[in-house]
Amino acid sequence: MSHLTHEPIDIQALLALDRYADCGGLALFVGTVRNHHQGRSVASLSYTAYVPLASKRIAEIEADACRRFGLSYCRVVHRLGQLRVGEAAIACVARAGHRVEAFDACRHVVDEVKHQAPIWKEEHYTDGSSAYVEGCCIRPDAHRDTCNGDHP
Amino acid sequence: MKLSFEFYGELIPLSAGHERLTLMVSSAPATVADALLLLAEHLPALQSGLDRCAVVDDTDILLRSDPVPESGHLVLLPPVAGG
Repeated sequence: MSHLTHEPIDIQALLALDRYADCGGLALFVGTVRNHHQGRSVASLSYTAYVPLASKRIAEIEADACRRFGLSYCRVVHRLGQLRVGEAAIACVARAGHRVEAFDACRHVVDEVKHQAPIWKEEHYTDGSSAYVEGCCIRPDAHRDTCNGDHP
Repeated sequence: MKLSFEFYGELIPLSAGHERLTLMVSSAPATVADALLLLAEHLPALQSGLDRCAVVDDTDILLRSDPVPESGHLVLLPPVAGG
């Protein structure tokens, strides 16, 4: 399964329940499209990505999480294209021996993907206007911390 | 020399909807920073956003002091907001 897809995310396929008998913990996070942002009514979102680097960064984040948290399995899939309210935008599965590592890893991985993978979110509002959500600068030689507060 | 730029995210509306721009330059810019100066001269609307952009050659993020790749192609990535 690709890290980036224009098709609805197949959550069941991500779980890998038929493997990893050593794992007693499975954490699943699914981020869905919300109908509001900063007081504005959101009708839909459009996600775009620079796919070569986004795929590479997500794979690196997964591998790092496996080492850091001792996971047997970690998988992230991010949706691209136009999504309606309620649709899944990102899914992350972490499998570990115990629940604590799985929960911690899942949260860490989603944060890293949101802040490092070159993916952009354009909000389409119910009044017909649209705007890109302000995000995190990934320029390595930036002069300051340019990660903004509205993309937690 | 042909110098080409590829835009993503909020850079696209700033460049009037264009996802790519090619400039023909008489002398090659020495560094990524020099290439961005040429871009800003050509598209002043982009100037405000360039400082927060990562500049990429394929999957390698470049520093401003790095030389422009031989391909002359630079991908500009504004602040990211997935999830």
